[in-house]
Amino acid sequence: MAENPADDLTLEIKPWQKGDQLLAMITSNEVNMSATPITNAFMLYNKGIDIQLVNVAVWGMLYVLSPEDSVQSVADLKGKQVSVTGQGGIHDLVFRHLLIQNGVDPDKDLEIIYLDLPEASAKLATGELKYAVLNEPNSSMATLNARKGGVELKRVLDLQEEWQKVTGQEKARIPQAGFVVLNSEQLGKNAVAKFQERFSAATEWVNNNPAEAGPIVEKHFEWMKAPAVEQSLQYARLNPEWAADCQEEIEAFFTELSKTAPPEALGGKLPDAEFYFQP
Amino acid sequence: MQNSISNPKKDLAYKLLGVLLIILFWQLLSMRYLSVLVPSPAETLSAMKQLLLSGEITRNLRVSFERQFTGLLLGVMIGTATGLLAGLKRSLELMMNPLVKCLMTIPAVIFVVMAMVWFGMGSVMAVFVVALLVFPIMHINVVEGFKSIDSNYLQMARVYRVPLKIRFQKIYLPGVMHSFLAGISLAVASSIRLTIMAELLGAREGMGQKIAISRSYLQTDHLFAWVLVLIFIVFALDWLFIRPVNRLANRWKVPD
Repeated sequence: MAENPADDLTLEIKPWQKGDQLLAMITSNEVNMSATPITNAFMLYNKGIDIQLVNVAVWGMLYVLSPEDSVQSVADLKGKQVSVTGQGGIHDLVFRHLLIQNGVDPDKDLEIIYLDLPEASAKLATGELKYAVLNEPNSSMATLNARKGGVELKRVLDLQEEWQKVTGQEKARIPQAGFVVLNSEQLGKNAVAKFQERFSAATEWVNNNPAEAGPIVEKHFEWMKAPAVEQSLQYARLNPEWAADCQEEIEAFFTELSKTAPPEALGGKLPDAEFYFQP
Repeated sequence: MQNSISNPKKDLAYKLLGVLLIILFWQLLSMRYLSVLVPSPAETLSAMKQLLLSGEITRNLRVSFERQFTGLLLGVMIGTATGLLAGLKRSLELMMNPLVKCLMTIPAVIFVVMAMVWFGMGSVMAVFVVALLVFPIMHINVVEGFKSIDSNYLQMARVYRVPLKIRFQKIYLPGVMHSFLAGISLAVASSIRLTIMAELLGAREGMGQKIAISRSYLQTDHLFAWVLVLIFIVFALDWLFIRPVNRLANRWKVPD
């Protein structure tokens, strides 16, 4: 995540890469809070882990990247090969939903392959791959990497805009990732409130000062290069809101998504009201 | 040569005890941890029952098995053919050596990732990876078989100008048979692992994909159930195929 409120709130950041690592950190009480895709939070909660969603931090930061201009709508992807990160994860679920709602059979009308970011990014740069669904800051990193090799990548589709078209709701958003608190009793409401306050202030600063934010992020996560972070902030829709304030919006989104997504992908069902941390 | 006297009944009893200990340890772990981390043996069995009843196990087993078998068959055919040629002609063996070495050294997962881009997700990719990596196993074994042939026989055949057909029947085939069969049993065992790995990353069905999806959905009971199925299959293959082939291979072994 691209934030680090460097002030009096003591905060230690531990990066995780795969869902299993996060699960291990959570069950071993290694962390009090964690950034996670919302679907992952659903699963953890539904599996009986003491976890609550504090905020939704980023909204719809999924894009289809390509060096070509020929794709202007989801339906244009018919017959193409598209790489997606993480089979069954939120990228995959949203992308498949959009395909199906646009009359494209994700298993027959196009070829989806699952590649991790470094592979997708490298193959986009060499031209081996023409289309990839990437999130921020990965899409920015891929764009900058490809530019080194003389390939100009474009964000040809914004999946949040496509979501709005499909649902007919102009303001619909994709609640993509946020922060969860573990054993909230132990940490206390005050600490969480303080975190949210600092986090909101920090995101505001970061959104207004992307050029200054880049080097700070790079210092903490060396694989996220400053120029990529700077570019990414234009597209990341980093806008934290209390989860309790957008419970309805989250539920509406996932109810729509579960028209095409298997129930297991959300841990069996939509979580109850307890899931939303009450400030 | 076995120098200790083995008692088949006693051996089996010890093995069963080993299995019981694993289950006991597993049960204890599952009591200590949340079921999303370590599901109990009972939960795993009930997940397995559910997967069996829904037909998922049969369906995915068939898919995986078809991929494994096709890949194995292709790999064995190609590897045996090139192995025979290389065994007959040393220049060919040397020329093929770098390719075979490369295939054996490069981590298999890299081929999976590349094959996914070349062939897309699914059967073609899995079959390709299995065949590609079974090929060097067979090649090396067949070439080794040639090397184990007594050079006196070869010299004799040359001196008496024995026709190629007879040389094949009487010298080459018997000489290569032991290594060939040993290669087959190795190839069968690796082809299972390769199929599962290819499916883990790049398939929409098959056992490997089911394992990957159970993992990402935190359905640990399903994951354990699939692993149990896998263990069962590997044991069954070992008993039904690999052991008999090895016994057969030993019959062809040239006494030193």
